[in-house]
Amino acid sequence: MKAYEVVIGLEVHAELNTASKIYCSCRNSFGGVPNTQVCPVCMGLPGALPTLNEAVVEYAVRMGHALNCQIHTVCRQDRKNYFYPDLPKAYQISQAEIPLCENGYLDILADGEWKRIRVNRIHIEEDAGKLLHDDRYSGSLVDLNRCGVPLIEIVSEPDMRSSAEAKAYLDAIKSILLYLGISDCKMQEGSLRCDVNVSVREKGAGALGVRCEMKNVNSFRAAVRSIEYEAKRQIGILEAGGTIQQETRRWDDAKGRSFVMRTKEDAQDYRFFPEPDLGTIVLEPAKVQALRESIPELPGAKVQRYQEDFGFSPTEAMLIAEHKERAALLDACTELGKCKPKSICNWILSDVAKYSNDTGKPICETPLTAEGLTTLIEQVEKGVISNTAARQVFAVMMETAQEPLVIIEKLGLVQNSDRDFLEQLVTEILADHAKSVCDYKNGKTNALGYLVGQCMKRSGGKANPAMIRELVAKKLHE
Amino acid sequence: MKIDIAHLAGLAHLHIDKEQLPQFEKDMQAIADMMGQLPELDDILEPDAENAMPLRADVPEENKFTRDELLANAPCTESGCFAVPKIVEQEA
Repeated sequence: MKAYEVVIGLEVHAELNTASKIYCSCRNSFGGVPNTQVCPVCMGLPGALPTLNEAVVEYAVRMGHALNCQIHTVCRQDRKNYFYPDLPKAYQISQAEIPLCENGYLDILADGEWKRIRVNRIHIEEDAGKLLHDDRYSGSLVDLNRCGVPLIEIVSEPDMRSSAEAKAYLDAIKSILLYLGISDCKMQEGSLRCDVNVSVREKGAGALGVRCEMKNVNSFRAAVRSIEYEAKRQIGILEAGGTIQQETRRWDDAKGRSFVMRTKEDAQDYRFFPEPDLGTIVLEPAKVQALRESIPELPGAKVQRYQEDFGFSPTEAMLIAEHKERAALLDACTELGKCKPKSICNWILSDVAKYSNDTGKPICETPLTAEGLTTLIEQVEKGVISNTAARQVFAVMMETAQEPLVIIEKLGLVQNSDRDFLEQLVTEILADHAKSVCDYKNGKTNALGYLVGQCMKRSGGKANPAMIRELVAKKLHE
Repeated sequence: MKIDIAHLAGLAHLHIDKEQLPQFEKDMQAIADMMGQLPELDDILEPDAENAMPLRADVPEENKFTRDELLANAPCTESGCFAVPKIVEQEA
């Protein structure tokens, strides 16, 4: 078989979390009773006229800045015409010729390497309604609450070469949307969706292969699976001497396969034309500049800072940086300067992350503070308490919101580092476990760990484990 | 180009009386003629910065109409929704 290269481009649709819809003042919220968040404008009733929501433009421009785009200060909107029952006007107001933002890029970290993915454009548009299917009713039911929910569409260039790169790109986009606070990115509610374009070509070939577009990709995991499926399918066709047809396919995640929706011949003609019901979008340069200055430090910059300033590995840095809350906690902790950044990183990625995952609570809804966490870590670094004891303290902190020093005092967890006491303890344990000592001397080196464990147990977990280990080893070699 | 109003009315599910057809034909022809001039206007695709629109503040307003009022003109409703023939995307 020849060597093939997979070429991937992604179109990400993100619903913006503005208070009102894009072209009318209806509330923009998920999950309302069907057809209760609608008005003549978003229902497309005759004579109703749209007015563009200022926040939608601002959010899109902020995303444009975050993705290093050129911002078009003069642009307009266009009508995209198609018929579907969830689209009552029979057109979607979108942007065709001139998007708000264009020619940007995003640096992603995939397989330990930085890679620049070019962003073709970001434009604003309105979402459509929803079709519901009810077993008790033979037809389809239309709920228009989602009509007019603002969307930005972020279109990448075909710069990704593996499903891992596509996943890294999607993770990075999601993380930035959350950092900017412009979308809640709940995939299960459909607020982040993507269309995946895949083609394959022989390695080293200049021209791109014929691409297929996959719709209905509802999770990042589905994106990865659909890319892998599609690449395999296309390579199979080429290897069998066939040619790839340009088509739109629908991904069925339950079945793990895609099927043809439309071929190139019956591709839709959207008959785009300038939206006559809206004027020109004109942005003042000062406003564009102010929006640029409102962009916080983004995950990509954080990853580099964590690596350079704190010596984190790329993976550690990314696991913290792409998670807004973890990064905020880490930044607050390192600011206090009480303990090593690496220790803070380890705690956040282990115990803090685990607590958050197990309870389903974001960090901000737990009693954890930067002050509390760094005080706790400081006690471990000073040798006052053991790591095991620290875990115990952490659990109590999360339950009771008490100060770590109070908990350590109350539970009597202060570590015993008294050399004379520990030597006595080790001597006793070795005497009580003559068989293990014998095993060790006969080459069973794991007996050492067992003996250390017995010492810790007898001390009620309070003995300094590093000192115990050192003393046990020393005595075994006497 | 002759415009077949009866055919268009059928596609659009509109009922137009036979005696009204000539008038509609005349009106539609005038619209089509006007649209026919568009390709001659070469700057039509340039956004006009003079025509800047004011943007609306992002403040939600309560609905002015009840759901029943908004659904009143729908030919068929079910459980507070517009009811349409079953739509399922299937294999082409």
